[in-house]
Amino acid sequence: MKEAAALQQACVAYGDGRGVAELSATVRRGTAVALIGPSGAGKSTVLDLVAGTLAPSSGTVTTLGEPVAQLRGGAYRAARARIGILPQGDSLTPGLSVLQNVLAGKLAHWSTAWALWSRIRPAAADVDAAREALEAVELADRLHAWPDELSGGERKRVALARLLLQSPALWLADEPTAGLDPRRRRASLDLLLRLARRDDATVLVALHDLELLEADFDEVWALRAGRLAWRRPPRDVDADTLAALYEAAR
Amino acid sequence: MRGALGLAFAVVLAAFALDLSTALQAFDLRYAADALAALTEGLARPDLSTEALRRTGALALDTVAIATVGTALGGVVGLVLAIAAASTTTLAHPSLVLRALGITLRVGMDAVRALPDFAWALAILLVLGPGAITGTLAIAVSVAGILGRAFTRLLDDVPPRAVTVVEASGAAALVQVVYGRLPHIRAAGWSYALARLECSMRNASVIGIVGGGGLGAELFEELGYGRMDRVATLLLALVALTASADAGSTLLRVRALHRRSLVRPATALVLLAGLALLPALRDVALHLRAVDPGFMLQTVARLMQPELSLNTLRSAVAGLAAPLSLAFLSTVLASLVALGGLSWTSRVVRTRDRGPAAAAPLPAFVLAVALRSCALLLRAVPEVAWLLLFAAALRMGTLPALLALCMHGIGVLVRLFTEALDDARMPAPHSGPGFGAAWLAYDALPRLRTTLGTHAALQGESHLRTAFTLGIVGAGGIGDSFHTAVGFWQLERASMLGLTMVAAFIVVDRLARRLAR
Repeated sequence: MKEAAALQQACVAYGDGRGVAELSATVRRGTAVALIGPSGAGKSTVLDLVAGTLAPSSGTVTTLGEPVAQLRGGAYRAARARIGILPQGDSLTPGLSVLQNVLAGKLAHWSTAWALWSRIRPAAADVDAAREALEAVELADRLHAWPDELSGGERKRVALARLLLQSPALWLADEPTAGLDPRRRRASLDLLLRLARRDDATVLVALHDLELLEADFDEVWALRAGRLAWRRPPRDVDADTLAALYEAAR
Repeated sequence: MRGALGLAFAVVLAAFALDLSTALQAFDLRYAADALAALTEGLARPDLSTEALRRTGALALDTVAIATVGTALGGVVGLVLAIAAASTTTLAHPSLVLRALGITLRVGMDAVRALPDFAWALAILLVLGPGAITGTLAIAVSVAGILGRAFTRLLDDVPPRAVTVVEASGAAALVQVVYGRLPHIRAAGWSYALARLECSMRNASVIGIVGGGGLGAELFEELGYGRMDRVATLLLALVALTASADAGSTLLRVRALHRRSLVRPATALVLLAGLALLPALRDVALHLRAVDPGFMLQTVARLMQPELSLNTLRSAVAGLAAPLSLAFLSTVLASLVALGGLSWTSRVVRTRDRGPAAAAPLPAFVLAVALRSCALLLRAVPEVAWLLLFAAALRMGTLPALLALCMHGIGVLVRLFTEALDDARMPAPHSGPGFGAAWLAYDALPRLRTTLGTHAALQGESHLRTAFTLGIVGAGGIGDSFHTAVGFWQLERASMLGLTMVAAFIVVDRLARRLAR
């Protein structure tokens, strides 16, 4: 199986007229795809569809070979463990320490009893794994800090460490650099793509900031009004195509 | 304008329902003056003999133990219930069984918290006999209902975006709550629990009146004998207790906000308090050994079968008039007083906001601090103690009950209204003659209308529960009938009256929340 995710004629309609219409596209394994488009074009909806947290009203979506949104019970949990999400905005739980937040990446792999016990006394092996994940994002010294003691950029990196601990085959990131200092955005995205490649993961990133297209992507998908306008390698994307994409939305 | 007229009409109607004119006609000035003189004379000279102090100290310790252990037990049970009710995540869970469980638990908690701890004490008394354990359990049951419902609401209100990752992990519903929603509400949950501990401290200090142990029984007795110097000693201990609970909970709340765990200090405190309850536990064991288990089962079974005769139903509904009118009138009056006082009580913040350039008017600051301290004193004395004091001067009835509720309500609402105004951090009013009233009326109050309305509505709900309690102590209405029914062992009738109180409370609760929105 060469596809990490495949959408076929997928439709979702929200009450306000937004959503996606008859979207068909595939993501090849091991590639990094950037999703761009004006606000409301359907970037987050595509990520939700691929994640399986949203079921299409018609058409099909398969992720890592399975229709995740239709799975139940053990099959659903197994599928969930292989899909990692990095939601828009701050996604850490405020009342949990950095360590516990990173350990939450293991929830899909753990049994219920083990998850509850780990909340009280995490196993040494798990703590080591969490520390290793934090090392990869250069935050090993903040293991016992609290989310509200960290800067916005540090919180994003903790969320990334949580993803590393989960070690999914597919990473779905929704505007992972939003809210960061403009100079930091590129470095933050580069870190994400580098770690994903290190783990042989497939990445789908929704982007708002077009300057970031210069990062290490294999393909760019352009969405407009819920439809796929075009998909092409980053080297074929120039200022004129982008201007046309965003101009048409106005 | 129409709203104000409607409110005035409702107030008059409620006053009629309470028959306040009769109460006022029966008002005997000479008797009241004599009683008041005796009261103030005694209160001015508390009995500070070693024996009185030792006795008061022991009772105060009992009170602390009852409140702490009761609140801790109730809090833990409430938390478990809330997690179970919220595991269905806002009743939208696909599984029908889980949804049904969630609804059942929520309705159950509403029913449990509708009855005041005094009513629970009377019911538990039938099985365990009088003593500190009965008081502890009564408080635990009531706190489990109140905190359980509050925790459920907090868990429901966590913004879904904040728990996306945890809830998309596919983990069991319980794990999702433990890793996502529960840590989210930690600080708010502790804050609720500590506020409840303050309340429990107040209630535990009077629950002895119905056989729950602590300071209350003695207070009731000494008031009956007219030994005002002893009453003064007990009241002093009571105010010291509630005021230190107030201060202590503020300290702990700060700790909770700073993310430090409260589990260990709280456990240590509860275990220590539990030691004080050991003798009472032995008494209960002795009591239980003396009672025939068959008889006890029969008692519980009778409580489970409410009497459904038309007669009982009619008297139950008629008995609701007094507590409903009391709660409504006292809430309106207390809100008006707190609102009227706002321009004086909130001066502290307004002068600070005007910046160091403007000279802070010192007299205004002093006045504000003095008024806030008065409010603290007003709410530190439990409503039941206020009732007993007013009854000593005015004879027991609805009038002292109304005054008692007003006193406590003013104390609470002055704090809540002032804090709401202070926390809003609104732009400072333009200085100039008479800015206070105009600023409040045209700027501050329109903006704070919803917040103040919510506070008043929730306070009204709490007044209804307290009005049931005051009835149990003798102020009339359905609480009084409930107490009588239990006293005469008419358990089916008592059960029916209890159910009526629950129904009335739930209706008022829903109405209050709709009004507050």
